[in-house]
Amino acid sequence: MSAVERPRVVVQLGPIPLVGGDIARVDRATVEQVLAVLEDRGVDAIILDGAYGPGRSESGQQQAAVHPLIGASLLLGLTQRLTVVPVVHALFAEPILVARRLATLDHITHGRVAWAPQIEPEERSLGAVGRVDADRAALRREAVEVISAIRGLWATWRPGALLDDRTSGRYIDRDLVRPLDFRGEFFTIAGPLVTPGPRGGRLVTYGPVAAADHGRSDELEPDIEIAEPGEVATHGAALVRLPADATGEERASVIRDAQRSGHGVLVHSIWDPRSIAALLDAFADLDPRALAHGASVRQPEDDKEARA
Amino acid sequence: MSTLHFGINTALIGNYGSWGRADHTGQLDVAPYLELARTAHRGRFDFVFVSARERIVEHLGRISEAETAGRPDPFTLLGLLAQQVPDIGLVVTSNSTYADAYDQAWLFSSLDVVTDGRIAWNVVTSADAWVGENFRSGAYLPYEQRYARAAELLEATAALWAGWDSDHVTFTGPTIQVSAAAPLPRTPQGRPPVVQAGDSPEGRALAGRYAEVVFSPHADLEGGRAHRDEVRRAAVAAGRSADDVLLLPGARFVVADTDAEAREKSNEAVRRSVSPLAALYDAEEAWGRDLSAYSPHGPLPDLNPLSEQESGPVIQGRNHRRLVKDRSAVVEQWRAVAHGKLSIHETAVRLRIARNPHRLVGSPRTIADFILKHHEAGASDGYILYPGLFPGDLDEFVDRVVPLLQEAGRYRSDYGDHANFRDLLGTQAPPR
Repeated sequence: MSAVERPRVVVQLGPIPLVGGDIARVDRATVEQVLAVLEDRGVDAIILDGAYGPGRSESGQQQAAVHPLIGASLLLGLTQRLTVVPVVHALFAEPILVARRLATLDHITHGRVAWAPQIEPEERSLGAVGRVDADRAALRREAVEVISAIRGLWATWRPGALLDDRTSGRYIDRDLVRPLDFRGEFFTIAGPLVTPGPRGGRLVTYGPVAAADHGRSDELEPDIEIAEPGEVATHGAALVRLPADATGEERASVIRDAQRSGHGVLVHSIWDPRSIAALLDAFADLDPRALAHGASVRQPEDDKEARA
Repeated sequence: MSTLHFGINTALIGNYGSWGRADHTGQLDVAPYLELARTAHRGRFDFVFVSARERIVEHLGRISEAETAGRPDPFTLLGLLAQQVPDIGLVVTSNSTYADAYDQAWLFSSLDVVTDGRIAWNVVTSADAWVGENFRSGAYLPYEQRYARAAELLEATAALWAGWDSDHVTFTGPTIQVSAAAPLPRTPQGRPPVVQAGDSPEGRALAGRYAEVVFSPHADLEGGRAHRDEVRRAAVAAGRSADDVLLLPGARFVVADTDAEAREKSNEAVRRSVSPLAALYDAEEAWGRDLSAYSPHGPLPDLNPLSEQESGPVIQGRNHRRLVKDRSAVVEQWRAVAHGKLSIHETAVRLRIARNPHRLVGSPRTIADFILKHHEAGASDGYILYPGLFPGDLDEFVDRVVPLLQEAGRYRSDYGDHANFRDLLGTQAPPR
């Protein structure tokens, strides 16, 4: 499926599993088995989670994690079908570089990538970049500013800007590429992006429902809202989170409710093929087509605006 | 005699004019990279090299329409490509002026993990303040400080890569402060090899201390030998073995049955790559003026050139800007070549052909002999190659030149059981 359609079943996984020993290596057997289960069960997308940076907490507990954007390139290289949704820690992102990284993944996988920008930094991550003492409200505003700069950079290339006129040698229509001239509270960015942005001008954003986040995730403008059971999505396209500790009956009920209201389901799992298979068994009694909508999440106005 | 090393430079892969077949799949496709990497793998190359650009090229203050936009992000491109092509090393170009040390350390160690130790870092420094405008920090460093900052970043990242066993890594430098737990345990290479291309005294000193591969502009015998000797001396002065830094000149190559055919093919490849628009841009660079009113198919403009001070920079954002000191002399050269008869386009083509040294242009035997001779003479440890035309010329090199180098016992026949990219290079990481 394309990352812009409504996902039916999405699995959220922690950082790429590593094998033990002195040297960090990807646990390829586990990754490949998990991907095979996900593809076999018709899962649409993986949200690739992980804290920013430090591989251990202050108490010394180890949580070594591959960078989500690099983890995404690994997974996208190992599967031809699944969409991958890396968590992006906005506060720490250099907009021009992160915008290009995500756009590149979108180009080279023909649209199999979305993103889940995270506004709130974790305490231990702030230490990594020497920001522990910073004002939290200001950090939040800065993170939101990074997200809008990234989106702005993606939109600097209008559809049709790439040309293939081999007779004249004109390969870019510069009238369809605009500078960004982003001027925020914290930084300025000239732009445009060095490569075109993702197809459609913007990646699909996964994020919490505004209400659940005390009204603040409006700043995130998620295309696909992650809702708790019973919670109402404000924009329409939602993934309802399947509680980790739910009984079999509760699971079936969450899935049925999601199905009835035209939403998808978000399943949290660890990197273990058997656990994932067991979790996805809860969907076995349901006709997966019943969860399919096929409608585009993207509002038609966006496309119109992108062409204007 | 040590073994030869080859890398393939992908910089012009997205350019239609540099693509020798009819099936170009567009400026943003991954397929050409995969095809090239697979061919290079068949030729047992050491690495695929991906350059980077932080701001789109401008010409006379507006976006250059003669450039292609296919400049992907090297980190994610190569992270994905590594899953589909085994063994070969992957060189990521990343700017040291703007990078955050923690982020940079985490990205590279993550890449080293997902590629099973096949990554290297081509360390570049900022071009100018104009590029810095694209970054949050707006960072721009005066020339003298750029290499100090690069060295500081290399030290900070090395501390993080080696720091897993301590609870906390602390690094304090003039521009970088880190105080945090390392992101990952030791990765397959620990510290990815550094590739360095700066040709200035500061660049060469940095290479002596940190680089395991130097991407040299000197493919000629004397220049190559002088550069290689200097970098090897700098390595020894930094407490390293001279053999731990490889000098690989960049070189364009074209293979054909005979030398004469190869030269003809090379000239044809240049002609293909210089479009009418690119020719007009060349003329605007020579004259320092907007010549958009002129047809590239018409005669040269009957105008005097503007000086660099009068015109300002014609081109911004290209990595190697040709500094024009005397535009009158350049324009005289154009007029001499055109001889009152040739068009702007034809003149530009001939000038570019004349600028192209025919070093690795010839029959397989001629090219192999050139490479072996320079290797023996201590002028190179191999080459970072780019084909006259993508992708077919690389096939020709792999199928016809590589066997001659293997027969001479100077090049590997298979990848063997090397543990990582550094093993393939046969170098050792600089001491810490």
